[in-house]
Amino acid sequence: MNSAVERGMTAEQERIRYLTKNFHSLQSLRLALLGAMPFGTRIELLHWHGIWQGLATFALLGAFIWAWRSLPKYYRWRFGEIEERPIPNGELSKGFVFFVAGVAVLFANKLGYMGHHGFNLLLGLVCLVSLYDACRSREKLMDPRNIYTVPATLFVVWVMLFPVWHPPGAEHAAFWKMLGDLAIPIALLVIGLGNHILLLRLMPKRISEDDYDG
Amino acid sequence: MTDELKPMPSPNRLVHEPARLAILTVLSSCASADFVFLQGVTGLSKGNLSVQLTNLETAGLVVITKEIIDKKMRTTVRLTDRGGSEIADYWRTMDAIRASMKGERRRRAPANPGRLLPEPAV
Repeated sequence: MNSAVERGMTAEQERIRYLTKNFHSLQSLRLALLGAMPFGTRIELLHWHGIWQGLATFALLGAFIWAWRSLPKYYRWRFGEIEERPIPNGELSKGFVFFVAGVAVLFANKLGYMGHHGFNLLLGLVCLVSLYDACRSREKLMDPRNIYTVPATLFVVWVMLFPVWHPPGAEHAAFWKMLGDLAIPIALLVIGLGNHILLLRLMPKRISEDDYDG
Repeated sequence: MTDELKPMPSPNRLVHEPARLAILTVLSSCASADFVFLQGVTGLSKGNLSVQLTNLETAGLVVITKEIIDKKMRTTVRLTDRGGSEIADYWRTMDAIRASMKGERRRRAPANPGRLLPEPAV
């Protein structure tokens, strides 16, 4: 076997292995949907009033619920299903800690338990720790998802931490507030759509015709 | 027995075939997979995949389960213990072949690669 063929086979095996191991985490159109939701709530920017605004809100809510419920069916139909091997306890608890920490920070901020800077610092810290986790081993560093997850996380960190060190002037305050509100939804959109595009690229187009020749 | 006469390890032909190797690689990375996923990830046609799965089932490397969910047939494939050990053996054999080829290449490499022409006969 010459080295080119050997390398080709290894790349194909690696693609199959990577896709199978990360199949469920790559199905993240729901994440993109969550990211798109805050943009839908800014419907007042369209300057519609009265019944039209109510109808538009109702239609958007209906579309969101329909899409949320349809996505698992779409994934089952297009990509099929697998049952994953049980995840080692260490990895499960780490992901769970990141998730709980992020949600706790968001809720504490919503309930008014922390000042603006406290919220920014804590959320920036959670993002930095998750960045460290994404780069701590060679295998994790080579993950193709890092191409968009790392810039998206760095964007959130920059938006959260920059105003703490350089408080914006009165003329830029509104811009930074809008950026702060939309940083996480933008990151969710980028990560969700990025994962979906990666999944489509990793899975060859389904062959419908039966070309078995014996 | 000298080093030169050592027999080269040979991989299991049932596993070595690319389509079957792709199926077994998928199944060794998850607990079970359905027909649609296997078809999508391997890029095989329905007929070809079906034949390869039957071959693997006959050899006792996989178990095929068919069930009806929402009035549709769903085929799930799972690796048996024997299938798991066969694919692990296959990768060990491939590693051994690669290692022996590297050793052979090193053994055949000239001691002084800078000198390309033979010594002139005196």
